Amino acid sequence: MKTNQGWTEQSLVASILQGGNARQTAIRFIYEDKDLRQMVIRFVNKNRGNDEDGQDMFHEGIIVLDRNIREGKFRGEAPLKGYLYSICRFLWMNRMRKQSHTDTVAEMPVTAEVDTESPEVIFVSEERKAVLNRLLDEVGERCRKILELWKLSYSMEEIAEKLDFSSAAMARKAKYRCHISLMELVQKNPALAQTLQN
Amino acid sequence: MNAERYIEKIEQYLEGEMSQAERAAFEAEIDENAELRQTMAAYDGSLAAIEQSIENTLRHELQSWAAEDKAAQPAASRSSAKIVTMRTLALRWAAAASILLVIGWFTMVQTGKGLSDEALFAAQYALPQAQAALRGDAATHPLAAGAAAFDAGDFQTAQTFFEQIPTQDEYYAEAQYLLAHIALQQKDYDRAIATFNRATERRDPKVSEKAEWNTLLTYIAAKRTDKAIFKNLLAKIAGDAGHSYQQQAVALQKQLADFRRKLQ
Repeated sequence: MKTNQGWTEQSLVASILQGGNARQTAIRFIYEDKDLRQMVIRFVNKNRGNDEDGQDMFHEGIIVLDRNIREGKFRGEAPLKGYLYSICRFLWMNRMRKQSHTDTVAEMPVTAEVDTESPEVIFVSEERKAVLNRLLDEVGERCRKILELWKLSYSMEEIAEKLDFSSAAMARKAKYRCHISLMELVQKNPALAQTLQN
Repeated sequence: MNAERYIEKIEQYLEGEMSQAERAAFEAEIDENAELRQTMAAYDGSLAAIEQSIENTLRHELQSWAAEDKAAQPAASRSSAKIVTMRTLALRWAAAASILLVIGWFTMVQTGKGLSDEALFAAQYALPQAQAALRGDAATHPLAAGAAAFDAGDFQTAQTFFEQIPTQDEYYAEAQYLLAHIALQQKDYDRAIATFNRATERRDPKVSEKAEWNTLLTYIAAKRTDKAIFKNLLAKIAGDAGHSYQQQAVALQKQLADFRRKLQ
């Protein structure tokens, strides 16, 4: 990963772990790495995709990277750039495998342009995603936003400011109510609970 | 479930904010208390949903940044071209000022026609190229046959094909999206709206926003822009900075509010 503008790999990881606006800025910096984006696009193009697919994989890779860093799955044993590239490559190969319903992807050339650390990528089924999105719809936009900010380590002061609560205490109360409400939604529907457990 | 009773304890436990003794006591309670175990399962489910929300939001942001990048490129070249054109036009405009005053009202009425429902729909709507939109190898794609019929204008065959895609299929949203376009071509607006809604509800990031935008266009084609559901959806998209069609929605709001629409 390029380390201009004062960023180092360590500070990027630390900022994502810190959450809040620091995470946002770090992700934007990673997104701006045009060399890496082009590498991903080239890989996808070489493997039966197009530029749009490549761009899409770069985005999906950043989403997985963000989550893996926040969940402590990125251990810093490989350069961040190589790790992200591995994720993108893995995601694309998996998509191709699903689309072709054959093993041809296993025969695809694997270019070793950078050192990589095996990425841990958890695939969430479409069914599970649909269930989770339905829950989010039911809990409502404002609650969804509060809980999202809370999970991303925004302080209650920041949440109050962003969502126009009169104080951090009010934001905390709202977060509590929203979380209870979401948990009840999970619990009330056995089919949803079952899907989430799978 | 008694979430209110346990949530704070669960958070303290998961955040590592309990002492060793408290932790051991809590773990013993988990073993013994079925209600607490249920609550913890619900808490896990809630975290999974929040994580999904974070993913959705980040995906919107990345798409929005990409759209900004794309828009920035041609804008730079357009602006320099515009300066030259504007200088030339300024002289012409000065010469034509008196004529414009005379024909002002006539012009206003004419431009108002460009804001009619028909004109707005025609300016915004484009029938998708179904095969080009398929990911990966178009020849082996599960929707290939339907997409080929769609692109060939054989909507009857395409409709029959896409209607057979079951709801649990991973390409269901794309099938519904194309079915909605077929209904729109047939001017069956109610069916088009209902089908676009089904495509939207799947929350497939590649389909959902396109389907929402085309729902709006269907309301325009059906001359139903006075409906609250249309206005609310338009306001929602226009107010969502991460939505791929946010800028178009803002522009559409301005066009719909233009007083010249009333001159038609």
